Amino acid sequence: MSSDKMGEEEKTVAVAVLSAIIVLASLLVYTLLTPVPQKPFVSIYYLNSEKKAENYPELLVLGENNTFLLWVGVENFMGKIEYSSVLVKVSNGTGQVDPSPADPDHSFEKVLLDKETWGFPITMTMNQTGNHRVLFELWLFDEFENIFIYSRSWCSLWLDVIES
Amino acid sequence: MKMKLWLNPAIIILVFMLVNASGNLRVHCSPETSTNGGVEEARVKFWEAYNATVEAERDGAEVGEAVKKLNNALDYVLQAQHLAMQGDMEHAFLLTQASIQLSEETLVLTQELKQQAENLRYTRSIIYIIISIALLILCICAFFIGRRMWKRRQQKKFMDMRVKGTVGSE
Repeated sequence: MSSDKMGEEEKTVAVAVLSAIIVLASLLVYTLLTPVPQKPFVSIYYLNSEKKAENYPELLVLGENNTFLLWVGVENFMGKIEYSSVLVKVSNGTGQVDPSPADPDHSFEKVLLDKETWGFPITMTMNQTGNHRVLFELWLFDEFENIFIYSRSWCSLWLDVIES
Repeated sequence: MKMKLWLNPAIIILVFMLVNASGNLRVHCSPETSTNGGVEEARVKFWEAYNATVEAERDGAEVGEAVKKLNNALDYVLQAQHLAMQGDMEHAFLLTQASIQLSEETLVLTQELKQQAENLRYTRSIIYIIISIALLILCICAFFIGRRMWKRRQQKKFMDMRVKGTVGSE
């Protein structure tokens, strides 16, 4: 009778230990398989005509080198597809930025997959002397409102245009 | 010159019909298609297709193919917009029609992708349940078999000790 009682006790302990092991193993597997959540973001940048982050155009001379090429890149790490629009604006450098109220000179649109990088060339010609700021603004489409909303991602290039 | 009683509601109904008809006329004579070669219409269809793709992706569908179609549709819209600004309405209209066609294809594709994703999710959940149950059974078996083997080993050890002890006392 006593040995039977011991057997019962042992079984209870065994089941409890086994349950604990299963629960801990499940938690461990879940933790290992669940990726660490990342903060979603989008970014915009520009490169020179050779796709390098150096030797950007700075001083332009009218009639000589006032036409230049840049590569604009957009990266989508929002965790979902994004319908993005890049607005290129030129200002004299004194106005407001982020976003600039100026009318865009060029606009480019594309639907980007998650983790996709979109690069495209843009050729610009500056015809007026003075200090200019070329702004590249990234706008994202809001599927609920059906409008583009400013993403707060932007970059700019300062140019000094002089006469020959 | 008293107006007959039945004439009042008749006039009201007539006026209402006229107003309503002119309202309908306004809607039907929307100048969008004629002024911009249908660019607005194509854009609205594109947004619809984009929203459907976003929804499909949210449901777990692989939307790479749909996004390719969307970008083609968008290219057509942008080209049509450019042509419409230059005054080439005929070509702009053709491009917007092509864009609308692509957007509609995307809508159909997203429905298929959503269905596929749902099936995949269902199959996966069944596989996960089966694997979990199999692992659970395996764990239980391993635990009890291990415990029995451990007990047997302990008993054997104990018996060996007793045998050794008996031999030693003799």
